[in-house]
Order: sequence, then structure tokens, then C-alpha cells
Amino acid sequence: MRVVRRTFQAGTMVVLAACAVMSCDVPPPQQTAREPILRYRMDAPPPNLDPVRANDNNSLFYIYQIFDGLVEFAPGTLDVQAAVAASWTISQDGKVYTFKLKEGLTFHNGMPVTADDVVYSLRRGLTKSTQSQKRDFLAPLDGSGPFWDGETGKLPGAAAPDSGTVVLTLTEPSPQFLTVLATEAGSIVPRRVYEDPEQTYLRQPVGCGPFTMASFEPDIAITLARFNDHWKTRPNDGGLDAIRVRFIRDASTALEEYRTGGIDFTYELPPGQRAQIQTEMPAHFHHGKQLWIMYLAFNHHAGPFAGNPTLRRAIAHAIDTDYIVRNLQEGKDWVATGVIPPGMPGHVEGEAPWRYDVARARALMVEAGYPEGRGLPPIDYLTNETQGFRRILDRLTSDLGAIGVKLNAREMDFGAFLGELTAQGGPRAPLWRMTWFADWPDPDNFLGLQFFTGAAGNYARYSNPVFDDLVARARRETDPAVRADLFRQADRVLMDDVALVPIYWYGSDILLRPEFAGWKHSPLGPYAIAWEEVYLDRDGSSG
Amino acid sequence: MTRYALRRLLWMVPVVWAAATLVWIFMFLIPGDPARILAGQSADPDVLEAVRAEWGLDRPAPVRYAHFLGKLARFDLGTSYVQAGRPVTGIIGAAMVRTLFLAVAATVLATVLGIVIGTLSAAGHGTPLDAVLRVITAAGISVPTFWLGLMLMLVFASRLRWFHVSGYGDGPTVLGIGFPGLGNLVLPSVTLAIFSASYLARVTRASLLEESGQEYTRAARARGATQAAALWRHALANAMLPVVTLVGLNFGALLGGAIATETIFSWPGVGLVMLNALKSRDLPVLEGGAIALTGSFLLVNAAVDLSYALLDPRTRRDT
Repeated sequence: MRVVRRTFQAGTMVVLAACAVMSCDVPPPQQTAREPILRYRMDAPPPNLDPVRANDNNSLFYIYQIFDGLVEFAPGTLDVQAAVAASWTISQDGKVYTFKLKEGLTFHNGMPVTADDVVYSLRRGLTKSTQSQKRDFLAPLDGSGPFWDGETGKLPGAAAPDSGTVVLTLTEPSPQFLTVLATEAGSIVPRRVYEDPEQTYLRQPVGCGPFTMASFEPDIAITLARFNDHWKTRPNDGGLDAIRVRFIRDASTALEEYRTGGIDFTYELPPGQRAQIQTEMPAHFHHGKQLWIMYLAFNHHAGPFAGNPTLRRAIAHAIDTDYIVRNLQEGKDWVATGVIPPGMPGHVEGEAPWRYDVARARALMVEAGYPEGRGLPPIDYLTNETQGFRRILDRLTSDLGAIGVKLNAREMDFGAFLGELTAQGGPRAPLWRMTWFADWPDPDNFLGLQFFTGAAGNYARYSNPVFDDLVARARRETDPAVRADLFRQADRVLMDDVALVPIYWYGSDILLRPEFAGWKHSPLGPYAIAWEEVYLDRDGSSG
Repeated sequence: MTRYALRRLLWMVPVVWAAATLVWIFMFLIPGDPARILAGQSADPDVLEAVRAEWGLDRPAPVRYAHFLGKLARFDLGTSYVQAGRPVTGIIGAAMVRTLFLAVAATVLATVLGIVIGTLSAAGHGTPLDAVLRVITAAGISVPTFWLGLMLMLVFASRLRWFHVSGYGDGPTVLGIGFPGLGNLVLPSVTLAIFSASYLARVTRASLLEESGQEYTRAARARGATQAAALWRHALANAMLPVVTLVGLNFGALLGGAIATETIFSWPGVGLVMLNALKSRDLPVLEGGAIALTGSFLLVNAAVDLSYALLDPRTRRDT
């Protein structure tokens, strides 16, 4: 009895004392005079901070801030500009790139950036034991194949004749090679640090980019601090002192954190609130295009869609993509009319090759041998389970149901979804949802890597000699205009063949406090925004 | 008593083994190749092979299981696939401490609220107050945690700005343990406590009403004690046994079942860490988390059983 009473009384005291203390710990509604620190929201910790292994947006954000390459994307564009390189020349035959490095650059640990480090970094990207995922990126380098396979320790494609010069030699001209070097695959790491067998660099990455890894509180936050010896930054130039990344998984929570002044930047707004947020915070809301596509992929290897373009066309006509983009995606995205997204060479402007037309779709079903869906088994449809994709699934079920096609949806998490797509012998489902984003911003990455016969990302096992020929010719073509036209033709071949049903090209919504100025959307996505260009505009003079 | 405690602890070994085996089987059966997720969507087959070899994913299942058990016997839960070689014990240990803060705060709050409301309800049995409290507790049990958390956040953090919206906060560090910010702890612990408090209140009320009908309570009333005094001094202690059981079970459940609350409030506890691990197929972290949760649940249950002896001398004699 006494024990109970004492416990009860002690508990009451604890609760009352806690409430009293907590009431003193009220967050300030808004900071008045603030330091130039960007409080950034990310949904989860980065899986990998090694530039040769990073392959997701969360990891790539850090890679883009911590590392520099010979070249980089000019902020807000896909134009390539010098970074660690001071200048470069390309040989007449388009195969030899000679880079002169900027003088006096150092890594975050104070070691000088040398041509040897550049060559080492590229070799690392082609070394199997590093578990590099950049093999495709760096494949144009001469000798990359035998080097990757371990047949030789020599990589003739990357050489450092002196400490300030890097010579890269390609097996054949590759107009996209500079673009590739501007991505994470071109990140330069200090050889002495990255040869460490203990791999301390995985937790404490060292680069020569504009920000250094200042602290890592696992599962809570990461702080990046400004690197004052970076070639772009100068002391007291008004740029950001630090970026403090907080992990907030739920988008609704992140929005409330933003509203109450807890963070300065967030992306992926919660569904159903886009219009309200635009009205509520017009100076904070920004919308840009991203080099991403969402489409329906047909299995070209097995199932009812393989070798039946008429049936595929019926599906294409039955889907109301306008409705999906306007209502389900709340106008964030763009109706896709091809594969290559806007802003990328080879993009085809204009109307889709087919329109939402249920009558036409029904007629095509008859032509394909399945009048009103009779004789067609239920179609297994694979999708990973997110709130947005579930809404799209509901609409697809209804649209396709209208022409007699019954969808048997199989929702799963991304790991299981990826497992299905990459299963031995190819995916068994005849239809699935697919998102693709630019590993490197070039049409070859969108077309060649997904639809070229035998390509690694060609899960659908699509094969069309006309398409393959156009892509192969585009890969060799050095004239940018001709190259873009070849990719444009290849894109049209896919559409004429209804190799897929493009649904939308992604847009990106972000919220950023208006006092942060000097930033530009990156076509690659929010992760590639050049934060070193951003400054705190305390008096709002930037407009 | 000591022998009983030891026996209880020894029994935990086969239970943890069985639980660990089940967890391992589930991890083995979970769809999706961890190597594929680690190596990327269009990974080179050689790299896939290298990743599988590095993490032992290419070995036969019995070998992997034996390896897993061998390490478990040495209290080694392995290293994370994705967190740059961090030991799982460190990851889960840190997350468990953070969840513990939340669970303790929620349990204390729920216990106090539950017993107070339950006692008031029982004392005013049949009155309008009883009816109101029963409606409130029914609502507390019914309302989904996810929705409740968001509502509390919107009102008390976004609108009134009394507390922080989310996060762990920067509390003091004592003996290397980072304490949460108190302003961060309130809303998630209240969210978690509401359900438990409501349930406890109903159990307390029912238990008290039953005890108040017993002869010893009626005798107390006959000796001149008020109804409140008879309930408080005589019936309450006897009504506590089912309440203590429930508090213990709730506490164990809160340790592992706070995933929704931790997600809403970005509380970096074991639930959120395991959710992140599931998405990235970080199997060692998932396995370690599940085993740690099982172990802690068993410990809490054992503690509850032992506490009976303190509350009820008859139980002490039996042991």
C-alpha cells in the first residue's frame, strides 16, 4: 500500500516538475538576427558518402557539397564550367582532353590537390574492389574495360604528365564526357586519405568542395561547414557559414517545422497542400523542372504486351495523363510526351503521339484481339508503395477498367520492387511503374541505358534495331545539333512503337526562406543546388 | 525471491534465441536483395558479387545462420550495411536510449493520468463526471496515434508554439548520454501516453469498483471512512495488480511500438532507426533492433512479475 502511494506521489511530482520546466523551454517563433547558417531538411541519413558508391539523392547532396571535380555544372544549368581545372583543350579527333589545374588548391585536410589525385580518383571509379557504381560513367576512358576486369593495372585513359596537368584519352569521341565529369563520378579525392584500408573517409569524407563535413550525429543531423580555402569562397564574402541538415522523415512534420521557423529549406511537400502553400507563402515557394520521368513500362520479353504494339497503344489511349498531372500531382509535374525531359538535348516539344481517347482505346482492344478485355488475363502491375503512387494506381485501375483491362496491383516497398525488376530472367509482371532520373544529364542516359538492347537498365528487355542504330550513331556523333536530332528520332521510335507510356516529367517544389539569395534551381534536382553561391540577404536588397 | 529472479532471467535465454531465430528467418525471407539496394539499381554484376561477398550474402543459409548465432552469443550484432561500418550495438544502443526517454516519460504520464482518472471515475461511479471521463477515455483509446500526434503538433507547436515541432533537441549530456530537449519530449510523450492512460483509467476504474464491493472496503466504510478514503487507503492497493501488469506491458510495447510517433516527431529512436533500416535493407540493424526490443520486452515483463512480490505479500510467499 505504501509502495503504491509513494510511487503515485513520486510520479505526480515528476510530471508536475517536468511540466514546469518544459513550459520554460518554448521555441522562439522566428529568429530575428540570424547567422548565415542554412537549416536544411532531409528525410533520412545518407546511405553512402563515398562519391564512387553514392547513387541516391540523399547521398548525392553531400557529395555535391563536399567534392569538386575538374569541371562542374554552372548553377541552374547543364552547361559545364571549370572547377578544379583552370582550363582544358580537346583534340581535333575529340578523343584527348587536356586539363590544366588551378594552382594552390587544397583539400579540406590541407593537402594540395594534384593531377595525381585526379587520376587516382578516376581509377578508383573504375576499380571493382571499391564497389564503384560509376563504371558506366567512366567507360569512355581508354582501357577502362581491361582495367575494370583486373586484366591490367594500367589505365591509359587517365594520365598525369605533371602535377598540374591531367590528360584523359577516350576510346572514341564522347560528347557527353565533360557532362559525366561534372557529376559525382568526376569527384576528386585525396589519394593518401582514400588509400586508407580503415576507410575512415566513409564517415569523414575529405574533398576539395565548398563545404567540409563538420559533424555527424547519426540519425539526428549532419553539419557541413564552409571551406574557406575553396576557390569560389573568400573570407567574409557573405556566403553561408554552414548547412545544418536535420533528418525529418515525414513531409507534414517538415512543413510545420518550416512554418514555425525550425528549418529554412524543405522539399517534397505533403500531398494535398500545394495550392494552399503557394498562397500562404508565395515568397518562399519555388517550383522548377527536374530531369526525371515517370512512365508505365511494358514487359517486352513475356506476357500479353510483348510483340503486341496494338494492345500497348490501347493502354496508352486509355490513360488520362492530364488528369493525373493536374489533379493527382497537383500541377507539380508536366505531362510527358516522350522520354527525354525538357531542358535536355533531344527533347521533343509538342503534343503526345496519342491522346486520351477511350473510344479509340476500345477500338484498339478489338483490333488487338481482346474486345472489351475478353481473353485478356488480369494484368499484374508492380508499383512501390507511396501515397502518390497509390493514388495514381487508383486512377489507372479506373482508366484501364473502362476498356476491360483488369489490373492486379502488387504494391511493395522499394527494395522488393527493385528485386522484382532485377530478378533472374527478368521481371515476370507484364506492367510496372518506373521512375528514371538522370545519372548524368545526357539523353543517352535516358534512352541508351533504359532501352538499348541488353542495357543494364533495360528491365523491360525492349529491343528494336532501328532504335539501337540511332542511339549508337548519336553516341559517336560530335556535332551537338546532329546528335540531339538523332536522340530526338530515337525518342520518336519509342513513342511510335509504344515501347512505354510516359506519364509525367517531374517538377520539384521547394520552400526556402526569402532571405537566402543567389540560388538557382538545379535541373538535376534540389540535391545539386550550388549552395556555395547562396548568401544571407539580411536587408532583402536582392529583391 | 533471488532464485525466482534468477530463474526468470535464465528463461530469457531460450526465448531470446527463439526470437532471434524467428527474426533471422523473417530477414532471410524479406523480398528485395540487400546487395542490389546497396549497389544501385543498374549495378554491374561484378559489383553486386563483391557486395554480396563483403557482407556474406553469398553464403548458404545455414552458414549465415550459424555465423549470426555465433556473433549473437558474443553480443556482437555485426556492423551496419549502410552506415559506414558502424557497429549495430552502437546504433541500436543509442537509439534505444532515446526511445527509453520517450517510453519512460510516456509511461509516467500515462500511469499518473490513468490512475487519477480511473480513481475519479470509480469514486464518482454513475455520476455525470464518470460518464464524461468514460467518454474521454473511450476517445483516447480509439483515436489513431498518427492523427493525434499531428493534431497535437498543429495546436501546441505550430499554433501556440509552446513546444518544438519535432526532433530530439539539445538536452544536457550526462555520462556520455545525450538527454532530449524537454520542449521536444512533451508532444511525443503525450501522444504515446494518451492511449495508455485511457486504457489504464478504464482498468483502474473497473478494478476499483470490484474492490470497493469487497467486504474489507465495506468494513472500512462501516468504521466511518468516507468513500474516497476507503477507495484511496484500502481498495487502491488491491486494485493495483492488474494496473501494474498493464503498465509493464504498455512500457514494453512503447519501447518497440512507437514507430508512428517517432516518425511524426522525427524522434531518432529505435522505431525510426529500424524503419530507415527496413527501407535500405540494412539487415544487421533490423535484426539487432528486433532482438534488442525482444530482450527489453522480456526484461520489463520479468520486472513486472517481480514487482508483484512487492505489492502482494502472498505472491512473495509463493516464490
